[in-house]
Amino acid sequence: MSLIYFLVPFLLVIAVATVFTRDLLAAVIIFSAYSLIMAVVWQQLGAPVLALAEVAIGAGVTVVLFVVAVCRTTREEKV
Amino acid sequence: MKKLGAIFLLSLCGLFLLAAVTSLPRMGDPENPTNSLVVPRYLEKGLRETGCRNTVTAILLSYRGYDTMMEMVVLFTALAAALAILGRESLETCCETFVLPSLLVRMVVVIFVPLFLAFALYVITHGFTTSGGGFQGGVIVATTVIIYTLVFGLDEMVKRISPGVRMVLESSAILSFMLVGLLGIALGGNFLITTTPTLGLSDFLRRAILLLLEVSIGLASGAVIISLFCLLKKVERG
Repeated sequence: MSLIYFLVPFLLVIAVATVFTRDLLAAVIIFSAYSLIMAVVWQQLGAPVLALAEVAIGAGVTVVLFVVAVCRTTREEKV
Repeated sequence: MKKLGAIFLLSLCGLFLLAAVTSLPRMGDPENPTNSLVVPRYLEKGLRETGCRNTVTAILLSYRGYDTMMEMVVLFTALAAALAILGRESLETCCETFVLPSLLVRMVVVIFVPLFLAFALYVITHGFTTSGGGFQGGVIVATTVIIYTLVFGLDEMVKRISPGVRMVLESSAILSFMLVGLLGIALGGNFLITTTPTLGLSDFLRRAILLLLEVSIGLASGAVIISLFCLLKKVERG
């Protein structure tokens, strides 16, 4: 249980960082870290099925799809 | 004046929503029907009634069969919409030279891809005994294929898993899931109730049906995600 008390504030920090990062690629990578931490939280809460799905989809597929989509965009402002 | 009207309408909407919230049962109340009726039923009788050895699978594949089927339909619809806009990649358009990464990266991928696939197979086939299941396993397969594509290029991947094969997988998986579900109705039970011991199907047959369901979910999700990735890659190269 103690691990969750450490992880959830960390999760909040990552979530805020994802929103406020200007570089899209960096935001996507931080978002994948969010999914990874979230998976550990699910596992700690006793939901291994959800944890497995979160790792595979959140940290795996979604990030790749986002990166491929970000590669199609152009940067118009200075970071 | 317009703004005032908008604020008035929005606060009216908010008030209605809040009024609806107050009439909802209190969250976490042990007297709620979900807590007093549904949860004990699932936990006490779930394994016996469905014949699964894992309560989560019992809920996903038997009690909430419609939910699982509709999730697959959602995935399929998302892919159909993307295909309608972007169009499927074809073997003819893939003729660009692709710079292979270093030998080290290639060797690591060549060694690890079979291991990933074996793990995905384990997750899919053990879906009804341990946690995990078709959806998670299918996504792991898709992730593995994406890693392979990133290293060896889209052409190499399309040569191995052609769009035609994926087209068949995407649609046949959902159809087989629906057929198994309707089989339950045909045998005189509810949708997807084929796995219940009371229907008189043999133990082996029930296991086989569960495995078929898990594999079909896995194939559907895996094939759909691979196809979405291919679409985006195709757009990337223009």
